[in-house]
Amino acid sequence: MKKPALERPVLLDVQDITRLYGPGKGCEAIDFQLHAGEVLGIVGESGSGKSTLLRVLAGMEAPDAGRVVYRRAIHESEAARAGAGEDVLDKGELERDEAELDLYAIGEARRRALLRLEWGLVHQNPRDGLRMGVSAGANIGERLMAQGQRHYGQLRATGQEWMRQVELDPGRIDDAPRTFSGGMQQRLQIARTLVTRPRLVFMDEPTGGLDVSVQARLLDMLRTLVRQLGLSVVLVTHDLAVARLLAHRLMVMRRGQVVEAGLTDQILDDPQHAYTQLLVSSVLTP
Amino acid sequence: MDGYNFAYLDEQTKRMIRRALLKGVAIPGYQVPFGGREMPMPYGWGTGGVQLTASILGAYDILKVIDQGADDTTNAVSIRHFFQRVAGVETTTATTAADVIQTRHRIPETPLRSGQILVFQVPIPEPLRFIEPSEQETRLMHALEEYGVMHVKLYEDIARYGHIATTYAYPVKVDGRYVMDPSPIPKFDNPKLDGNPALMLFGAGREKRLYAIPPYTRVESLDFEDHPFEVQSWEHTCALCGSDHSYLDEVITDDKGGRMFVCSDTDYCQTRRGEVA
Repeated sequence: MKKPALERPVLLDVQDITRLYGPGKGCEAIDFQLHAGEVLGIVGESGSGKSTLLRVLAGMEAPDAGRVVYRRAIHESEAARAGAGEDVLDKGELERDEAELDLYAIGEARRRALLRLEWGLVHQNPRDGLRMGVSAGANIGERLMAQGQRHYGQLRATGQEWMRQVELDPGRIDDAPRTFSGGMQQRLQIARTLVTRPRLVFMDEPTGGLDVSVQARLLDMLRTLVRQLGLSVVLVTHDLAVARLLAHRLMVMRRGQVVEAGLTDQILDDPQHAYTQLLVSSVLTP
Repeated sequence: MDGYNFAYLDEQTKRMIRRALLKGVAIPGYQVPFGGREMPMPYGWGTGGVQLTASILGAYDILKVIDQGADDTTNAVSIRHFFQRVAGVETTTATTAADVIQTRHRIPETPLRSGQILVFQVPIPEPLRFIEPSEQETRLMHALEEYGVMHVKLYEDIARYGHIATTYAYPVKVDGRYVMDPSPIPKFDNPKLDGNPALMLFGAGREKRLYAIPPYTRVESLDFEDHPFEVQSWEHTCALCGSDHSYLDEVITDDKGGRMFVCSDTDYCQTRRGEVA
């Protein structure tokens, strides 16, 4: 029997990131590593800098100091995946054998190629991530078309396949997203992001603004997809229940700084820092 | 005409536009900003095309102006008169005789020859505008060749209508690099852009952009593998000259449903009738 690799390779190496809009506003001296296949939750109250951190990590805002290094050495499992016809990495802009990319040292062209080809971002508000004017199928197909896929029939088949994956009715592929409910729009956004099989996905409050039962189903689906696709995820949320369900590890932020980090269960069941204790104890239980 | 410089624009402005044109020719399909001037006509009447024509016109050039293929419609007549008055150049309606042809919405049916210049009037030069309202963003998309969204529009067409329903201003890729809006010519004329021996210049007056397709440049219309680019076709032939291969306009002749199909290119139609008669 083959033993599972205990030390998973580091995928994202965040070194001393600082992005401040003013004293205590933004994030300061953030340092962590994300391993392949891991879901990292970032929790904290509003204004704690978690969204700022996500924006810096996702390549949308340059940090004042520090580096975000993406290590994209092809690992065994991923090489197998790439071999299975899912080869989306050969796109000229990104060299296949380039092992380490410093997100803000590489040029904008390559940063955008990276975001388009290997990363994904799920916004809190599906309206930010979707094109509301075009059909669901076009939304799902956009990233594929950006990669150069030019076969309408295949794009459509892929679109329907992904609608099934995220539990949407494939018959509604030609409907505009604005005719979908909030939960369905969020599913559509997830399908649109995952269709290119990114390795690393950033999620900003993916269940925010949804009612509890819809939230539960969406979380269930997300958990399945994350496991099936072997995604690495950075998840920002203020909802500890969401964090407990999805995240393997947690970082607790307050006033731009990480006050506590560790395994999810450990942090939620045995919080050490006073702020974490406050956070955990203020969760309402019906 | 006294009190005006030759062809209305002052020489400094012409130099500025010519310089921008050279850049446009050097980078086929790239939109070059230029300092557009106020012209004695409203935006939307071809101020971009007029400025380009004014900058390239020589005293011995012969000018032809068409609007939707016709030499005798308002826009064509007024621009032709304008250049007759301010430049005193010779004008013509014959495509073969013209050195410079300013056009709105058509490319003449008669094949152009090397040495001729075709000037297009362009309302919206940015092909990405419909999906991306920000100018900063569209420039970046051009710079990085991020043209996936162009196919989103074509996909949407097929999903809604079963075929690519874009019939005019059909996006093209110039020389394998820049995606360009060929101005609102019918897609029927798109194949004529490819490898054309004439120089083609595009001017947008309101947006103050110009771009160019040099002679013999590769121009491809965007499409899908399983939905290839196709041009319009008609069941009718031209009621006047009998042409079965030109772009036809449908003209309503009475209020009882009477209609006829005629060539939109009047010069081409008349030439053919002359030959037939």
